[in-house]
Amino acid sequence: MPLLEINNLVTTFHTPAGRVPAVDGVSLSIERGKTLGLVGESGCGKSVTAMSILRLVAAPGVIEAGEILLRDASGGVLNLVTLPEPRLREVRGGRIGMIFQEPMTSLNPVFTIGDQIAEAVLLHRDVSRAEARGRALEMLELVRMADPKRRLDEYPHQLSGGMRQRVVIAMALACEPDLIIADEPTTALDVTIQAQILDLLADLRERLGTAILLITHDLGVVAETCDDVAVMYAGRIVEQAPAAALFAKPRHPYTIGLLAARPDRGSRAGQKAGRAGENAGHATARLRTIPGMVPAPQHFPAGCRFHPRCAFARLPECAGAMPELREVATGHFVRCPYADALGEPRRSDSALEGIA
Amino acid sequence: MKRIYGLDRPWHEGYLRWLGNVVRGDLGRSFSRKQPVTTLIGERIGPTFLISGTALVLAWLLGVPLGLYASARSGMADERATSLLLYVLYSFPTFVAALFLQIVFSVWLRGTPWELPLFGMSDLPADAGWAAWAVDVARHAILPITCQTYVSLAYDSRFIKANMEEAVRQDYIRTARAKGAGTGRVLFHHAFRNTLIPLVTLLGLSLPGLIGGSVIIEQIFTWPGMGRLFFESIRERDYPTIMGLTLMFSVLTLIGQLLADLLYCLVDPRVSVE
Amino acid sequence: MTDSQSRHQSRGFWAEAWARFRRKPLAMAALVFVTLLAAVALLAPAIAGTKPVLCRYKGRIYAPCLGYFDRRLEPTIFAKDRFRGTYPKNLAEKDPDSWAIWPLVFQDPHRAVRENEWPGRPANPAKDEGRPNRINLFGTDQYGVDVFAKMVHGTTIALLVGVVSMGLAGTIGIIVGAVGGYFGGWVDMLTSRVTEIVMCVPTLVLILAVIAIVEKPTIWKTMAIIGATGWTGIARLTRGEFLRLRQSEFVTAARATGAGPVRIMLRHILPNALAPVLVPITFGIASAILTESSLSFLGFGPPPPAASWGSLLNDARSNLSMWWLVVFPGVAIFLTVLAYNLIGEGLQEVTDPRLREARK
Repeated sequence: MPLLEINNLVTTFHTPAGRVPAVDGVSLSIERGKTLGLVGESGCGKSVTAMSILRLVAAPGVIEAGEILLRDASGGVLNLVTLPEPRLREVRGGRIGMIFQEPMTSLNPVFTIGDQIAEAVLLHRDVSRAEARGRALEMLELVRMADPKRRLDEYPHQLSGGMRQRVVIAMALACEPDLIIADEPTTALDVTIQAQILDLLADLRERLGTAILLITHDLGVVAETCDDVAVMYAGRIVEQAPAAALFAKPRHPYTIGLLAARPDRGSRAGQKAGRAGENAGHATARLRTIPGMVPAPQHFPAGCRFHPRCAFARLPECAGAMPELREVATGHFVRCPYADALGEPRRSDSALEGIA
Repeated sequence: MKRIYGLDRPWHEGYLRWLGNVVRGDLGRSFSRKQPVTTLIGERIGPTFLISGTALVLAWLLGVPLGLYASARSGMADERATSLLLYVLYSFPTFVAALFLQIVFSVWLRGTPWELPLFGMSDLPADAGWAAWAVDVARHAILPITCQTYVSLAYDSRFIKANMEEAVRQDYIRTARAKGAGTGRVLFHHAFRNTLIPLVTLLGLSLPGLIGGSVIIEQIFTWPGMGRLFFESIRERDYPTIMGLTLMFSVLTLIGQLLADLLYCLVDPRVSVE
Repeated sequence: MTDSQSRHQSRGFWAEAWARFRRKPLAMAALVFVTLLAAVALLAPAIAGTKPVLCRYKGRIYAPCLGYFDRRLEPTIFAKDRFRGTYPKNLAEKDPDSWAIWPLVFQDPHRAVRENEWPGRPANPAKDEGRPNRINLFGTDQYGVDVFAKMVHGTTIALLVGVVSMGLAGTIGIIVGAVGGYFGGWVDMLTSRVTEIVMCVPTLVLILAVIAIVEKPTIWKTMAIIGATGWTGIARLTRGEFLRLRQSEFVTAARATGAGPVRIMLRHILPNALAPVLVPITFGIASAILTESSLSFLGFGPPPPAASWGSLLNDARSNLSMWWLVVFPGVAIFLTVLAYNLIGEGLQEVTDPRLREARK
């Protein structure tokens, strides 16, 4: 049984301009101790999905349908969508920790690092202030913060971006959650710091057995850290597969395009991805882009939402009905009627030419 | 006569001499009252602080909870009604309110226990008992204090609400909620602690307004404070007193800002005392 | 970015801001109210007065009502014919063929209307008997002068004070702030210090102190003083905007094309900084009106016969039982101040990108 299961989640923003379905029927599941990468361009709804899990979606956004099931070790199930607020607060920071994109602004500037980590502990555990502070120190050591004792009494502005992100991670892990939601945890950081933070996350997952939902637009990061990958486009999952399978045989035209558009970073991640399948390796030899733009949620096209940008779109079928997400190989789900054909290496190579 | 006050000299010479005297703590002698300006100000400073100080404290004591209440209930019917009322109060001129209050409490309620005295600080003779005198002064002070308080009260609570709304939008609030903090803790601990920073600035800036307001209020209620003294000396063209009081007001403003700067270091860890 | 582009962009911005402003009922109501006041101010002599709006006298057409704007505009023929300000009877007696269009309300802002001055109408009540009635809509003051007429004619002052003094304050504030923010360095040091010094004297105290020095106060001098002391907030804001914008790419681009500092400040930065600066100016108008009425209330208003709303309140102080002397001018001041505050608030909401973002 998966640790977290999202079924048909719909999150809508009610703006003066009308209903905006940012997340439109997303289903995902994360196994205990595994890392799921949720990939997509900005605006595709991946962050809103993450926020929906802890019901942190900001004001005009409302979860309109679906369920989010969180299981504990003994088999108990909580539906986070309907859970009353006080019980939900026990989950927030207790059983699910969250890491945000902007380490520069996600810490409260007027409280010390120690206080902020200790608060997470005090909110969920019946311990004294001193014990909570001790736990904060432990956490800072765990996230390999240099000189943790001194940092405890420092304020966020005295820390660099990478150090702040370590503090946020320490805070998220302070109550030993089953799941960490990491929303673009490295996007705002320097490349060298990015690698450090990703290493730290991978290491912590191994040591603590915490499952991770990693939200990113960076396929290199996914290749390096994730067990499974889900690709989102315009509020929907378009492809979901084990990481190796996805990089070896991407089957949705959008995923194929994303992989092709990725610059060869020459990093470990790039090499790993390259090794994962010759096909993707070929693709990264030349930098390609997907024509057109991600449509705004008010202007989602009918049928397959990718079809206006897709080189394979066959009218009128693709513009007719939304394709179903179907399993084309074991554990490999694709929302495209031509997924079987696109899965063949040769075909997809020529397909790439078509996209570019 | 002209020579006594140095009016036979060019103005800049007079000004320099005045400055020199100020440094030695001498503000000169009043033209019309034949008394040292320092003595005059000394007599009037207490009553002014009684009104302005009380009003300042009251405005904050009431304004802070009101602002927090408004931000916690943001969008609800009761909050909208309160905010509208505060907005109306904020635009309501003090002197008009003072006249309204005077009409209500001394004309319409004349003869009832609710009647309040209109003018001055005390009607009792000097030999009345201490307690009776205090009660009498308090009765005289109610209307002026009310007038001084309500505008700042409305402004402060609106200011707090606006800044709370700003703070609530920040990323660290999301972090706090993700940690599992409840609405109350998020608002009063995380957001309000950050709102203290602009609030301290406001405290420093509110002194000039309070002093300006005291000129009008003290004049309406003939309250024997510095504001009324200032007003009278303008009427009498008593320049040494005008200069002395203006200096006094400016110094008070500066003290307010200095105080705000010091408090700033207390509430914002990013600022240090250097 | 070229000139035409940046101008085009700012026009789009204002059109968009106006479209958003129009959707705010309170702000729009306030704007309508202020427009109405402006109409009242312009048409004051036609609304309340004892001089005909238009009349035919001895074969010629005159507009004696203009005398309310300036005494010299009143045709001299009526002075020559010894009208002494009373038109209805004199017109009929001295030229039976004459006709006249009268103001809506036959009441004078400067004096009490006498018995039978308007055929068949009693004299205005004086002292505390002049409570509001059908003839004296807002009552009369202790000398029997009609309060409604006084208020209608006082509207001009209320509006002028706001616009003139904030025009002056805006000019000073924008220049000081722009120069400091654009040039930075010691220039900024100097302008910032000057701003702070002016700021540290409470405005009303400063104004009263200046009034004490000024010989023969007039309403224009009062406006000038309010303007000259009220620019500090505008200067600080302008400085901030200029500091921010001088580093932006379009300024660098303009500098690269060889534009001089004055041109860059006026053509490139100012249009982009105008929206945030306009907000404190609007609030400033509200506070200028408040300041002027406080001054008039304290007895430092325009010299008689001109009456501002504040000076009406001053009359009320010694006659508290005449509640109508407090209520009508008081409410008028309050509504006008409220209206400008509402407009300012609306302006802030439609032009501040941060507030706009929050509303999305």
